[in-house]
Amino acid sequence: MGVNDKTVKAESAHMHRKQKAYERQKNVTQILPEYSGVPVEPDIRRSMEFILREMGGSDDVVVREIRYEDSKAPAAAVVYIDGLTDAAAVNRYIEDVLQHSLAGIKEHATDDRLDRFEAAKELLFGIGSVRTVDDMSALYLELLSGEAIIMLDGFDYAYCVDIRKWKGRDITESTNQTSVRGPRESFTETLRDNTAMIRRKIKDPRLWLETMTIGRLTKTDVSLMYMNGIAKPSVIETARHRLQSIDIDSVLDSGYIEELIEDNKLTLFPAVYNTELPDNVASQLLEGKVAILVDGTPNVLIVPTQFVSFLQSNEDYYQRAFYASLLRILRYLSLGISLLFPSFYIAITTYHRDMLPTQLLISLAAQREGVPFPAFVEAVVMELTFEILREAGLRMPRAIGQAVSVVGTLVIGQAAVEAGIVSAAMVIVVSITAISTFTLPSYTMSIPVRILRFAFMGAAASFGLFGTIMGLFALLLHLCSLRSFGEPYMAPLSPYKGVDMGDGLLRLPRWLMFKRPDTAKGSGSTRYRNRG
Amino acid sequence: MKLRKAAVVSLCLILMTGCWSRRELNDLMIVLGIGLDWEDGEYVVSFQVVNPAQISAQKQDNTRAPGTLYQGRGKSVFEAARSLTAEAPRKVYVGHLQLYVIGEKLARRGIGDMIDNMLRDNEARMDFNVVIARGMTAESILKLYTPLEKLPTNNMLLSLKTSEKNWAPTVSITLDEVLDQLSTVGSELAITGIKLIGNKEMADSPRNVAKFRPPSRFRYSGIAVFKGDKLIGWLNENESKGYTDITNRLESTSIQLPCGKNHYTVIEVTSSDSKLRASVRRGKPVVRISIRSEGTIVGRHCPTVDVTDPATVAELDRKAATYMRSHSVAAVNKAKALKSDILGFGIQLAKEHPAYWRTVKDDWNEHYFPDVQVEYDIKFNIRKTGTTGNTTLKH
Repeated sequence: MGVNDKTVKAESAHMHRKQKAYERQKNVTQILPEYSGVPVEPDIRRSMEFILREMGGSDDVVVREIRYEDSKAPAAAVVYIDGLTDAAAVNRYIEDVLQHSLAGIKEHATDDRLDRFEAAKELLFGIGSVRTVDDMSALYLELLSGEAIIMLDGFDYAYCVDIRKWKGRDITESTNQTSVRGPRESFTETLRDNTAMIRRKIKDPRLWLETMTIGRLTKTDVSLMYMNGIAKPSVIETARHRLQSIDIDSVLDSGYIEELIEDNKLTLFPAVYNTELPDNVASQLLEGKVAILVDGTPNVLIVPTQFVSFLQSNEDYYQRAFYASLLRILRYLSLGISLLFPSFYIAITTYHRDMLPTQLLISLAAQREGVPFPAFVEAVVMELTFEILREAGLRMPRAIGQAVSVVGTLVIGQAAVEAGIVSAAMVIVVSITAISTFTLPSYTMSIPVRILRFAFMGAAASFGLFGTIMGLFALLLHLCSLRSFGEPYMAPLSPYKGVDMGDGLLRLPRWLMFKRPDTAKGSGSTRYRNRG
Repeated sequence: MKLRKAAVVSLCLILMTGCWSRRELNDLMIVLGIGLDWEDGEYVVSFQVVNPAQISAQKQDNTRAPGTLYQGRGKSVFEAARSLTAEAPRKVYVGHLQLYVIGEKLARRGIGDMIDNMLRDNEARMDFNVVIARGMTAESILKLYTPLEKLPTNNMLLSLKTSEKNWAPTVSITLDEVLDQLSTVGSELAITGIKLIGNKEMADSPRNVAKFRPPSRFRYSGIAVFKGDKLIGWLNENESKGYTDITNRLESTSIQLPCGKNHYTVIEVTSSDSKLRASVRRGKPVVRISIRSEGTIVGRHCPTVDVTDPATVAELDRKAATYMRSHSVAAVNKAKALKSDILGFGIQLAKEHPAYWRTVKDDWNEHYFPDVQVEYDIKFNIRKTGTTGNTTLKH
């Protein structure tokens, strides 16, 4: 345990710098304003009393005292929250170390308590990262984050050691975003596991990570990850600035943050992409986007995003190019169908019957004989029924959930047709629409589609095809005016950049996609080099 | 505030317009065929309305007719159509009209008025076919029960189109073509005629289709010749064939060349192109009709005819050309006799010799057309003999 003077000094200087950086990051005084400025008392017993009292005597706060053999007063104490900290490590290492160090120091009989403290710190280095706190608010933050607080009698600052360990969910397959080919692991609720998964995908030192604490009461750790040199500095700065301006009580899911950092709060369309898959995040980071990871949720946000991102899936990049391009076209078609099919049906059968072939017209007219409601009412009723069944299917236990949604819709549709309440053609229209909605890879995008479907139906019922087209124009205008973190939402369609369209509409083979898209700072920089 | 205003405005838009011009599918009375007759000084308009429930694939009720015939009377077609709302539960919808039948009696009086009505109607399209009911009222045509296709108009329409392609003496004319021909100076209108054959009393009874061979059937026969908008005469089968040959409407037909007693060599015409060339010689119009046709031998009934021999084939070519020539001559003669230029000689002359045309166009049908000298340049080429040359059958 030879403590070399020079080493200690150098290390303490280094630790001092790290400490300052850490404090800057954490913005400590804003965290617990009630306790900021309350110092750690040199009298260890008073500090501990304060800590326990302020926590209301919660019995998961564990205090381990270490005494000199010959005294009654504790010389050091370890405070930690049971369940958040690795109790075994506390047992094995901290007590051990403290016993030894105290004993050893006593042996060497130095009177300089500062030296004693520094010596202890050196030993604690072997366990985990060590920081000092001198403020009660910072101490509480560390304690409740799962770090063990080590207080030594007579010092007005304490150490906190990062030996966090709690039971989190294992890395499993994602249930919401399934993939046929490609990695299946999905994020968990632990921030560190998530950042580690991303690091495993991108082993480059330019992948930078910034963490901040958001939420007055929940004090959730939120990390910002980006590739320095590829992501645009303006985007990074905007993201950082917006995150830091959030002043909210709780952040329980990335959805909270998403709502608060959006550009345009009055739109139905999501301007922030969320995903559960690390490969998705990694590929977008490489295109210059910024990822926001929130502790406690597997949903990672990615900004800035474009409309076309919601119609892309990771599968596209792992499957063969031609097939992936066809699938993409199919998805666009499904988007069109799920948004407009009922409106077209209503508009054409009510206002524009000349557009139907005669045989079809006669067939449809035959089905509608005896149906009491106009086509619009039929359509709305059937769509509402579908939405109800869909929501119900989500909440049901797994075993019967799927069966109910499928069987339910079929049976109800058939029964309604036979009762003469709706026409069979309407059931078909609504079913096809519903099924097309499921082809959208992102659940967040299916929400505006479902809502706008009703608006389009209303427009079609009132104004026929004219109304539908006007609605489409309005939608298009709205979409083109959206921005996501300063970047246009409809890129690469507008402003049109032919080079990027290779990934927008189709999925061109890798040997044709040479350059990084516009969202990357070094736009035009090569990402594929043929080694011939 | 802005949001509230927008919400109020959009609600007003949706609620106050009342969705005008909205008509549900079951508010439609889908008319597939219209028949026009003239009786006692007024128009009798018959609408063949489809009964969708009967036509659709599900629940078929054999006691009800597949359609209904509604009739209205009035001084104009429009008045007649509106007058029948006193009997019919809905207003007519003519957007899907397929067949327009004009009774012969009415055609002889002139069809210009009703064509105008149909043209102006914003619901009706111009792509339905017009036919003339020959020797009977249009109403009787529309009441016919037909086998195979439930709706008689569909049946008739398909028959018209198919026979135009495969059997010469019919032409399917749509309303826009009628308008074209009625507007052009130098060409007269010609419309196919339809009539009922067989037992006419059984025509409108479901027992008509209960038998294997329906006692009452329709048949397209003859082409009606118009002068202006009045019907003046009919072309028989040969003359109709000539008409289609000359006006470049022939797609396919059958030619029988006798090669013995009651035996024929049968040739199928597979394509045909005709061109008119007009010229003026010594102040007189001369029209040259050139027809180029190709065919396939589809029947060799005489062992004396050796279809593998090129000389024989050349001989057959000449005989086929002569056969076609006879039809064309018949058509031209009939048109001249009726003094109505249905073959389009006038237009051709107008295109090629406008100065001359200007001097004769006022009197074309009466004086100049009957004196037109016609030259025939008809060539026939037999290309194939089917899947075999000379068969091994011993007759």
